[in-house]
Amino acid sequence: MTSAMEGTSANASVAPDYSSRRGQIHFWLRRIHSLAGLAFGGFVAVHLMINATGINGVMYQQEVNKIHDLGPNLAFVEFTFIFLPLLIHVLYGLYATGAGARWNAVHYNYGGNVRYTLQRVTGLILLVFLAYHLATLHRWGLALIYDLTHWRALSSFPWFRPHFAYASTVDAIKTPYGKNPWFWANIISVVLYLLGVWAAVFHMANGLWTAAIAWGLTVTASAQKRWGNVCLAVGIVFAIVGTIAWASFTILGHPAPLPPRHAHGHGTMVERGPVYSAPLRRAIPQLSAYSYGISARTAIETAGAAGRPV
Amino acid sequence: MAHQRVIVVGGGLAGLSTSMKLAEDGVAVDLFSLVPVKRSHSVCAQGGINACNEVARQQGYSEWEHFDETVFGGDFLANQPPVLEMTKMAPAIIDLLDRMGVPFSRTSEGNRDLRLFGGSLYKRTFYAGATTGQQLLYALDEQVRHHEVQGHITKYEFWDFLAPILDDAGRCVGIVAQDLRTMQIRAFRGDAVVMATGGNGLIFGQSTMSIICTGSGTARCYAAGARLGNPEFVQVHPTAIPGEDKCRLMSESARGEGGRIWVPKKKADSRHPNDIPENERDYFLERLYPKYKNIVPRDIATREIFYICEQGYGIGGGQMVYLDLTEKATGIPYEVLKGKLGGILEIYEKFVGVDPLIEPMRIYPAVHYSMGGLWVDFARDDKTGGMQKANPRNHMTNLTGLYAAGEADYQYHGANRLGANSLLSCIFTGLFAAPGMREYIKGQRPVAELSQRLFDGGVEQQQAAQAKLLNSKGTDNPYLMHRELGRAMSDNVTIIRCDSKLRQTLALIESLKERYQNNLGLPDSGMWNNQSLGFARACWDMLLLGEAVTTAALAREESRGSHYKIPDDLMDRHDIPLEKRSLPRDDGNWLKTTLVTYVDGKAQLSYEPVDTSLVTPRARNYGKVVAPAAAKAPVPEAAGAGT
Amino acid sequence: MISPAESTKSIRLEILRQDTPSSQGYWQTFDVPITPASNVTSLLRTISGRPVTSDGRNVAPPAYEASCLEEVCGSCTMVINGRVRQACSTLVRRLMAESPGSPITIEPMTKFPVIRDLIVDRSRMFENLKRIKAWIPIDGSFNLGAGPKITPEQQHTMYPLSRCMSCGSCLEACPQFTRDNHFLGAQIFSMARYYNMHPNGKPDADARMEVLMGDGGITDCGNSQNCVRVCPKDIPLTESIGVIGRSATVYSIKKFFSK
Repeated sequence: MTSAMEGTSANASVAPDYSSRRGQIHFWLRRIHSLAGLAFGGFVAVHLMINATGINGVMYQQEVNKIHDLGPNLAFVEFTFIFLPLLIHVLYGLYATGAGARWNAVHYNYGGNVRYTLQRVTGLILLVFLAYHLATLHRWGLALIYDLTHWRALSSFPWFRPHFAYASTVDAIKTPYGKNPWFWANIISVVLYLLGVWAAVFHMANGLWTAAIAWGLTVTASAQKRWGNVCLAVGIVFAIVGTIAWASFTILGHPAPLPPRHAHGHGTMVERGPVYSAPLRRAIPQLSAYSYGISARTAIETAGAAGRPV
Repeated sequence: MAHQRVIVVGGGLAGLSTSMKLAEDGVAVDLFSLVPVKRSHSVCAQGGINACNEVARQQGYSEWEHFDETVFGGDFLANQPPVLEMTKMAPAIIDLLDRMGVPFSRTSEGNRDLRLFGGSLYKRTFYAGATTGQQLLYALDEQVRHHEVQGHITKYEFWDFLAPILDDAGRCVGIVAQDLRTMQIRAFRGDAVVMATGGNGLIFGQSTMSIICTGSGTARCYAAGARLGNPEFVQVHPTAIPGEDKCRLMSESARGEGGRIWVPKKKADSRHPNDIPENERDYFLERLYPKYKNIVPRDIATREIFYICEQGYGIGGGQMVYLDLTEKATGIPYEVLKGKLGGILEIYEKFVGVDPLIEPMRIYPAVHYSMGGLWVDFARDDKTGGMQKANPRNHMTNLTGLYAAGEADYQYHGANRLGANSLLSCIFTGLFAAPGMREYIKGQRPVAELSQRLFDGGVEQQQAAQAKLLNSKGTDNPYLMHRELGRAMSDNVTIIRCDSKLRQTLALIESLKERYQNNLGLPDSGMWNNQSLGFARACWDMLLLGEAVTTAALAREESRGSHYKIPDDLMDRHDIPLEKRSLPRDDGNWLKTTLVTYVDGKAQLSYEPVDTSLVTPRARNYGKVVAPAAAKAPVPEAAGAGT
Repeated sequence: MISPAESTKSIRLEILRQDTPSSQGYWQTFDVPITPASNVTSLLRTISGRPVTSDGRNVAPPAYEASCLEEVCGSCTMVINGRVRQACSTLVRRLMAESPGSPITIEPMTKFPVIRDLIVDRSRMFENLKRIKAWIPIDGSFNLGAGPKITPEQQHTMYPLSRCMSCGSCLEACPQFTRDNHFLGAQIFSMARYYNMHPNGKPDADARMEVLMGDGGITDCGNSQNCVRVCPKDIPLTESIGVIGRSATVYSIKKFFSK
């Protein structure tokens, strides 16, 4: 006999194991997931704003310099405020998403349900994107391996180089596979970045909205709607900021060639901002004025003094 | 006593209050219900629950007034001591429900609000929006759940009561019941059995009742020898949304809160109701009953609506009138009524598609409540005039150990029930009768000691009957037979009755019974959750009850409350007012309780006197006036002959 | 009642049937006469009177639950045209307006074990009510005077919550509620809120919070808010979820520091 049959005749269903300890741990994990999301979301917000300065390569370089001025502390900061929250958020998020939920936004295509589904879909997209992002751009990815091994095969792959912040970023995003790219590979990379940015912004804004319910900040339908509008505004602002950031390094990004990586430390190289198209240059003369030939020597010299690789 | 158990059949207000009270007194309870108890028909009660209260008391009202209104509203057919006891306990019942957390509607000061209801000039009805029954049922459901968790009550939901088990001495010692899913038939021992199985509206086809209200619980006891009391008294509620599957109730509270019933003064007026000006509307209840206006008791309002439609003044000349809750008619702002009546307005809007606060509702009377039911005893307390507390006789049927409570019994409402008295009587019977049951089982040999043979016999009997049903290979579908019965009962045995049509109905029932026995065809012969089987059984029960109702109605040669008899030759004389056509109330010959016993497959009638020890019967016409004022409107010539 | 003259119009019904809890489901098609007032329970009732499929086969009538037919008992919950609804208040003419020309599909709820055809076992809901102590613990049915005064504002908040008829719509539509997990769902959060806010229900409030913060509790709500959209009684379920979320925050802090 199935459990359903037994349940009907004796009016009792199978009593699940509701060990309160397990439930309590789950409860706290969920709340920590929420806090971690907020922390990481904060980082993403700052990240997007800084990258939006990529519309002006010099300003961007200055921002990057500020961050890298943290020196050896940077790793600590990055681990504590970025990677640890991210790890918690991702691990629990994966568990929650995979815990047998049945998405049903096809039949129940209400706004809330679509957002619920998108939150999970964007979470998964972001997972892929972050892996790609780290692997292609960050020194903890390919760069780290290169630094450790000086494997020549990797030398043609670009990645982020703090002292050539703008140009190296553009290269890493647009031509991540080096000098011999498959044409579509680079386009996919660029598109993936846009998708990643938008997914992040949605996930962040919607997460902000649901967190307020989970913590019990917004209770009434009208409060949830009100806060929803705030989150929407936040989302729109960051979508714009994020898109500017993306554009700065992709469709607007035509920097001068970077020096070879083994040429670091000599302070002779010049960082270049984006090369704007003629109409845009005319439209934003002050930006284009910054676009050419501004020396990054000072930055490089500072870096050299600190003994960091460039 | 710990090993003694009481079986309660039915999980509505009466069944739950009985179970709760028994459990509280330390008696173990087995509670049987066709549906999860939370889905019982009590949820459909809308308007409220009556009780004397401090506000009304300080305006001159009292428990005695409540008693008197109830007896008067019931046209003096109710035994008076039980009614007195009920009205005396009513205020305490409200307090109890309040403590249980029923979300009664509140006044600005935080007190329980009151509304006006039929048959009273005082506000004495407590309510929770317009879903009072639902709220009360849920509160009791929760209490019973609490007892269930503590092991005092065992629920058997989705179980169908098949028959009482009687020992050789005729004492009820248990029941046979069937699990509606596994179809297992089992006997259960019970030191006492309580039938709280509600009314039997389904014998009329469409009614305001839930489709589980077939009366089969009552009928199966009746078939086993329990007597019915006053089955011919069937309440037809004045205001319901006519429907093909059921008539959905539009609570009396709609009128208690200011709703007005009217028809256009012009016959077959085809204008939209909102376009018909005030002076071209006939608010006929207000015209005829200036004192009670729209809240005259239900039997009266129903007949007036019937009569005005018979005269051709119904909407479009048909059988419908307006129940008007628009601000234009009531003078009450939209939001106020929305707040007070939300639950029923929603029903109208969902099923008809019109906001009744913007456009008047179209309603017509529909079968609503069974005043009659299983006959039950009571022990009179000569000192108080009420009932003796904890007396085992209270609410016991003529079968020893078989009790009945709530709508399933015949007590309290006489020939017509007042609005908002049913929730009270259901809860009261459970709370009041349970101590008597406890006393009863104390004095009995525990059924646990009885031989198993008796119980096996009950099961075998039911299995044999079931095998016969499952093997029936005829062509009559039980659902269609029920439809035939319902149509005849609705047409002939409701608002007005005449002998020829009652005889015709009896003949039809006779032929249906024969067809049932010889030509029934079950569309499903499976042995897993077979609903056709259950319905076929209930269909037979409804035939038995239909026969009992009709036989009793045919015999009663008078008009009283909901029973309104018109001689054959006057039946279609629409030119004569109903009062002039009907037989008058006849206290000399008919102030007596109808008792129906099932003998040799037939309903056999006998009678017993009504206990009128507290108030003497008096004329009942609610101040109906001869109103020559509205010239074009149909005008009755004189006050009712039934007074 | 449908008289032969009115029976000229009919509609096609596709019903997902299942004979026993363990057997496979299968679809059957019926052509059923309709009237302007037809609703889904009335169609099922009509089929019971003449259980013949569109291709002329005599079959057992589809089993279904129904009782009050006016949407207060919660019996007849089923999935109609892909969405969970109360069959009694689902008018055929509205379905036809919603998707003109297509047949009506009727399936049992997917989140509860099927008993037969459209009947499912919803006992999980009632068991969950026990777990959150869904009652006011009274001192017996003795005459102990009135309950506490309740302001009209409190009543306006409580009354809509108390209209929950345990139909299961909120659970059926909830992506977080599945047959295999322990999630309590909106119904329970809302009822817990009801008892926690009643003055006489407060003594058990902490015990309820323990359950609500335990396995399958408020933690698992994903805020899709389908519950509030499909609730036939318009109960502010998401508000209740917010309230329980807030209570959980407060209670967890209180518990951390003072228990």
